[in-house]
Amino acid sequence: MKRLAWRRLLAGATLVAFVVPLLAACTTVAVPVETEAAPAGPIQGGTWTEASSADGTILNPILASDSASFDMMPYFPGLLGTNPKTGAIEATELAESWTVSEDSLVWTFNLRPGVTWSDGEAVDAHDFKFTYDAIASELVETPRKANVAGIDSIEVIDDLTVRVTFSDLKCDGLLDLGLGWLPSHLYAGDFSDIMDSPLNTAPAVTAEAFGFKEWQRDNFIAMESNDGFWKGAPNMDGQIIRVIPQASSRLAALENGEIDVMGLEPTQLTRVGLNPDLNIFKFKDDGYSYIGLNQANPANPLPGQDEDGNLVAQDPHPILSDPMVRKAMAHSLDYEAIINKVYLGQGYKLASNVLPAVGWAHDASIEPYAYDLEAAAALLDEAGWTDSDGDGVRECNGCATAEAGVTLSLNLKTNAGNSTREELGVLVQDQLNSIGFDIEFEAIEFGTLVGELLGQTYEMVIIGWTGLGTDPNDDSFWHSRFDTPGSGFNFVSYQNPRVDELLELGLETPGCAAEDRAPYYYEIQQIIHDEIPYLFVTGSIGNVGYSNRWEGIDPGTWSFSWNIHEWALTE
Amino acid sequence: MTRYIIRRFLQAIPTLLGISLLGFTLIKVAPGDYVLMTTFDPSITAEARDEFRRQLGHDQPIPIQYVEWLTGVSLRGGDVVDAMVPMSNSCHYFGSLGFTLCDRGGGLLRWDLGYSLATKEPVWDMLRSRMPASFELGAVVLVLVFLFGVPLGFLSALFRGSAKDQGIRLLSVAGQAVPSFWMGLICIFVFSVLLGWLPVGGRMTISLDMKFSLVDRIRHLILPSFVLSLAGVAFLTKLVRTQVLEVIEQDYLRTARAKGLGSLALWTRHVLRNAMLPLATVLGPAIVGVINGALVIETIFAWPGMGRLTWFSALQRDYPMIMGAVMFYSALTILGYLISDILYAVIDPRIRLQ
Repeated sequence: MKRLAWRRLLAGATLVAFVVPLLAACTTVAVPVETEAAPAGPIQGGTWTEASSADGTILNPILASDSASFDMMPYFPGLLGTNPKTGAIEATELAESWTVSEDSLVWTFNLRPGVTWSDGEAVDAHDFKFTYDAIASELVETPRKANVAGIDSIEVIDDLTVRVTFSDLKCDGLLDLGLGWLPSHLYAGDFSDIMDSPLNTAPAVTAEAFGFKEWQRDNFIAMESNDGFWKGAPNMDGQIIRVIPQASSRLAALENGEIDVMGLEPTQLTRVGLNPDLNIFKFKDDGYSYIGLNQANPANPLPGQDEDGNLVAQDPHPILSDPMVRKAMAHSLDYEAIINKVYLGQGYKLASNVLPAVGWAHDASIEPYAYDLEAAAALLDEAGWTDSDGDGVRECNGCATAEAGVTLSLNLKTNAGNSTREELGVLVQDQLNSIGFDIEFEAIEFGTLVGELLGQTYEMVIIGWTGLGTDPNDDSFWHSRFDTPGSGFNFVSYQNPRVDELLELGLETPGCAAEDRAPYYYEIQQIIHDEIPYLFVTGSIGNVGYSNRWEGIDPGTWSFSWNIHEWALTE
Repeated sequence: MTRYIIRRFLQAIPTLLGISLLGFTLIKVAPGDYVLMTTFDPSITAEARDEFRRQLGHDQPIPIQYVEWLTGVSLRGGDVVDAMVPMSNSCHYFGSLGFTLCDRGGGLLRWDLGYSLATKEPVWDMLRSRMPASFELGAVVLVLVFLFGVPLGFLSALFRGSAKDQGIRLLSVAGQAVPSFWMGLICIFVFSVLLGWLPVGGRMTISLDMKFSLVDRIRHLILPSFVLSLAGVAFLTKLVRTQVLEVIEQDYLRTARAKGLGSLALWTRHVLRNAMLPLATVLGPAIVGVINGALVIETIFAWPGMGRLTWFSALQRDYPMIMGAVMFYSALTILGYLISDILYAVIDPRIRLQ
């Protein structure tokens, strides 16, 4: 279960289909279920059915890395809750309260008493410690090792008190503690049976609203309600997630009443909107689409820092390392037309890297670049990129970054199969070519694109981030430390010592108070806006279509199903 | 015949080994890799990624990884017995040669396809779990294809040049030309959404208290098997029509007719039997194709078959899973052609298997 969303590159063919699993995470707020005013009480029974575009891979929160899997395992309790509407971290899960040391390194969590696994065993501090120790264990092969990298120690003070000591101050460190807990009493203490445990495909116990019933791969997963759920027994009998890979087949199933909820693509909005049996929940989700501009030479990718942490001078890209060229690009895209035509209105203009969803850190005063072809052309002229031979493509005639005569030719890539991005690519190609660029656009298989991106062997890429979460820290995109060819996410080779410094200050602010951190992020946004490592195309808007045969659904931006145990059939 | 079959099976071994080597190399050389795909998440650090890669042994050269997959034996330079958890106890350091050898267990040669990287489940179990769905759909499609394709082809040839023939030929061209994804979506829209007669997809009605219901299974089978068999029926109709037309032009038929052989005997014993020969060629590979799965139809109708399993493994770069599927399909293909050859000999006494 994904309690605290982690950042993830937007990979799926559909934006929304990818976001729904994040939303479906059961971040729940304790609310008494029964109200005296309704003597009859909600209708009991019924099965809530979701559609997922992909099957899960493994039902173990420390081994899984795909959102479909997390959606299919709402069995494992977590330490911290997220407010479904604001995204703020709250004491709505197993941590009832906590204290933090003055240096913000030592966190002591007081756990909720009386919570049990469905087999009657108590959910306690040992489960938490076991889970995180397992991640660190050499016996466990998991991509989640980073979650424990910043943790110095986890001590069980008593069954209901656990102390986590971080090795360095990291204001978003709590996000590392967001994984679901394993039932430690069902595993060997030395972690030797975690990798091949039958529990990975058939979890035996639950401490959440639903328990595992049956999983037929690539077909469906069925879960039964857990009457012993500490927030209250669900009204429904259970929940089913069906794997329906095709978006239009999912829509047909929703219209047919075979499923109750699905993430909608922009093209599906009209049909769902006209259907009296369906509702739409629209929200600004925590992601954005952009065009990444590789500022380093793709033929010679270099790390951003040497072993001692000193900046390494990059072999500059002959075209994209020129800030005037990047600025001309920013001015030559008609963002409004792109959002309306390509995203069918499901987007909003964005000026820099911190999303409005993170209100306290978002600088709303920065204006997005205006669509201004004249300004763009003037910038290119000024930068020494002019069309001297009249073939419509500019060449370097006195430019600062390339040899004379080099044409303004660039390659733009995206992942094949994502029709929105493919359309965007064609439009971008058209708009940039109209002012003298020569853009070659190609859509390639996602796995191949990943290799080129992280390998830093591409020039321009259309891609997006989703699940950016509630913290404005995005150092992995900009800090020179993360410019590591082959693995780092600063794959645009962005290098600015001031931004490095600001990112570190923002993350290591004593006390981690929002008002103290905000100025750093304001300055970062201004610099990112000015230096244009990304062309910010649009902020993401998600749409979820769901059946109105259920009542009590109260979706929030950060969780759709946070109060699923209170939902009930209307008749 | 028995000796022939045994020889063919023995011949299959080097073929399969060659396929495994080629397949493994191609997958490994192709861009993108499993570790990158699963850790394509900025919250995962480069160190964590390297650690993950080392644990999986994906930091090793391709030949070593291949040998590991084939034999279950891991080779590492230097004395790394302690680092080779969890198999340290089956490791030995050869000091004079400077490398560590570990018996990881499994390996293709020990009849073990290994574990899927993504699901940690045995590859064979994953393949096996998808087989019933694939077999079910495939068998129905195969039956439909022969049930309709053969008679339609016959009719078409019988009434050559007539309106019936024209109609059948038009349908068979359409059947082959219409893309199955389009036909599938149209069928869903008409029969499921508009008319509400049939389910949108899946193999059964899914509920918390499921019981097997033949009627329900059949209702779910109708649309996918119809759409999937269209192209096959069209292909077979054309094939049978051509064959029959060819056969009835033959001299021996005229002789048979002249000798006064009845029409029924003429058609069943001579025309049918001779026209069936090329069908035997088609049948073997057709069985294989049907079992291999039908990715497009499985995707549109949410059918949990083998095509989707293979496709998603390829997208995820789940090497053991891909290799398992490659080996399985290869073995099946070899088997399919063997069946074709045997059928050939059964139908045509002139052919001797040696």
